[in-house]
Amino acid sequence: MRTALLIPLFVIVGIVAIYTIRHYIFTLNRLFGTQRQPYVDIGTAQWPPVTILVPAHNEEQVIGGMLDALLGSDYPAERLSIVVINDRSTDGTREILDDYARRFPGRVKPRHRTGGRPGKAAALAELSGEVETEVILVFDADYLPGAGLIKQLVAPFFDPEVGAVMGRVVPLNLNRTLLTRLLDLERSGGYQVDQQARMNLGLVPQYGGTVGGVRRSALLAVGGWRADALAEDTDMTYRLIVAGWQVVYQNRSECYEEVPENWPTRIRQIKRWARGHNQALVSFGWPLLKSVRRLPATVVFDGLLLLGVFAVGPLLLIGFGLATALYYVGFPIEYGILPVLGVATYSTLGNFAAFFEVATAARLDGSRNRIRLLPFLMFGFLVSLTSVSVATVTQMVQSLRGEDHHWEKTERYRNGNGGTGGRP
Amino acid sequence: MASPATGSAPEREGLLRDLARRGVRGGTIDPHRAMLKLPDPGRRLAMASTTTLIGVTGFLFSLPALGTAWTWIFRQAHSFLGLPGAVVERSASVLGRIHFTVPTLTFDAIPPDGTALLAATIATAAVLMLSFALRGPLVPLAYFVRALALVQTTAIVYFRFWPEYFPYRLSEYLVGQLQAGLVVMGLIPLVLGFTFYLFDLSLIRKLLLTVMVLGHLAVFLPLLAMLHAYLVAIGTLVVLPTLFLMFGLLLHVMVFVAFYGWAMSWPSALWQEPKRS
Repeated sequence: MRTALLIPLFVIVGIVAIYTIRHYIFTLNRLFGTQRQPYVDIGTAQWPPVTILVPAHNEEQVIGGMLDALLGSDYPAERLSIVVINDRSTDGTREILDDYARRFPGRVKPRHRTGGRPGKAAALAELSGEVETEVILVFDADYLPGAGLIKQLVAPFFDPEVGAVMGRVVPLNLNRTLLTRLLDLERSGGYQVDQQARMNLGLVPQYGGTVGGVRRSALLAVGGWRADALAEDTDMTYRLIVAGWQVVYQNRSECYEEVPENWPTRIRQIKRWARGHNQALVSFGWPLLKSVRRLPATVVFDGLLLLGVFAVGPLLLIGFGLATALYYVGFPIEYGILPVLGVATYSTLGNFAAFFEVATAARLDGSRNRIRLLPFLMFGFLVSLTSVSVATVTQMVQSLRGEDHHWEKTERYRNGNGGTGGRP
Repeated sequence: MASPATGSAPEREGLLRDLARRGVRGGTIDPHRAMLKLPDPGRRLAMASTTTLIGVTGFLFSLPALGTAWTWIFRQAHSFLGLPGAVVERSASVLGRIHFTVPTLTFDAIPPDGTALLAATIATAAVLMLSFALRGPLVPLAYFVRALALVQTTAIVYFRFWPEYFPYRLSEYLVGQLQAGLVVMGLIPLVLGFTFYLFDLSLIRKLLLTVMVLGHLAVFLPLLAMLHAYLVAIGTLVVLPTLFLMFGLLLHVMVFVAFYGWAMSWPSALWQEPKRS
């Protein structure tokens, strides 16, 4: 009985230990390694025509601010088209967009979707076929790009091997609640350390789909956006990687976003991410493994770990269950002190890797005081773990029943007035 | 005297290096946070390894004194709490070379009877109900309380059906808790060595944090063990699984993370307040 519990428990601990080592390697690399930012110094160039796609569903609170920020970009205006995809909004989004289109003819081009499959992936799939520029940037409607950001995101496409580029996401509303502060810490760890270390090490930086772009020819080569993708960004990242394109990350290219301010919204968001990631795991796990002859083994290995990141949640819960069962049947003392040391080491060093990463990122960011919130991340971790596990189990049941998934929009908080219409 | 602009080549290079980092108001231009990194990794890793080695060695040789101090704390707490039995010492050693003692109690708690199980069930149900009243910003606390209720439910079910198979006695449990705590304490210099000593803080600050965390655990571990003993004495063995699984090692790690978070917020040369010269 004890052995039956111990074997799967140690397998789970082993898997989690691999993620732990990965966290340490990434953090040490970010602290001491050469920071690869090969395109950030390109300031003068023959800038190509660019189309910016902004999917929007009921975004009246934020879309004006977003358009104002894009119109204030230092990118040559005659080479920049802003296409906002109004995905059957029922609020004032349509009116705001039409007003901007009237004020900025040829620059702001709203597209009003009234039918078809709902959701960001479907909206992008429908519109991207009409785009004629080689560079396509995609932003979420709540993002506020700085004036120089468009050039920074376009610069990597001068490299013909680059299929997609991703910038850094920085929360705008971080001082609203404890949750927003915790999410700021998480985002900091994810981008400042995780993404940049993957870029440094030539692994798989993820195209996040909210402040980044894709090359049109690469997009067409891999078959365009998939309308049924729950996480079109992860889906696109892996299709490009498997096809041999480079995905690059620009840590210097910061863009502001709204993070959830309340826990129900956060729970819905992370459940959506989990379902999308799990879908990508099923779709690309095997194709990625098969591409080991063409891609570096490290890329394949890290790619698989990135794909499985949300599957670890349910695994951890199973691990806790096994450890509890093992506790009731009695820990096998005859195995000696090694398992005790192993478990103790894992409980301290293992769990600690993520805190090291987040604290390092926040320290690099200069967010000194916020690092003191570190222990509260454990509570956030508990919520995420439970939510991801529930989402995974629900997804499995839905798949077995043949049910379709539906897309959920993240709530917005900015008390917008529809923007300034480009006026100062 | 020659001005730097017309001085020797090294002087000119030094001036150019300085100018390249100087802002319009005479302040220093710090690199963007996206570019920041720590210099001298080899020196830092060497220093971290050395300090870690010294910390772990120092801790190991302090074990006999620590065991004596814990026995004293156990005796004071035992008397204060009015617990039955007596405080005794168990021998232990590290690699057969460093010998020390760990205190424990001679009394053994009883398994829960029907009344105790009923009381535990009612209390668990009440806690679970309470969790549904925790809304808004308290949602994470609600999740924790539910996890607590879930673990306690496993204990109630276990003692309802298989009480005779429960493999732990309180005296062994206390020794196990203290020994696990010692393992955690021994790992502290190692963890700090490679996650904190690397940063550009003074050696005094680094040592201060290590001493604070170890000092805290040195006092907290025996007091927590005695609190567990007290709760088991009045609540029977049915509370032991929850105490072990939710308020043992997990609690120590959380406290350590709190110390670490605080120390990582201490100022360093990585970020500097803008100079107003």
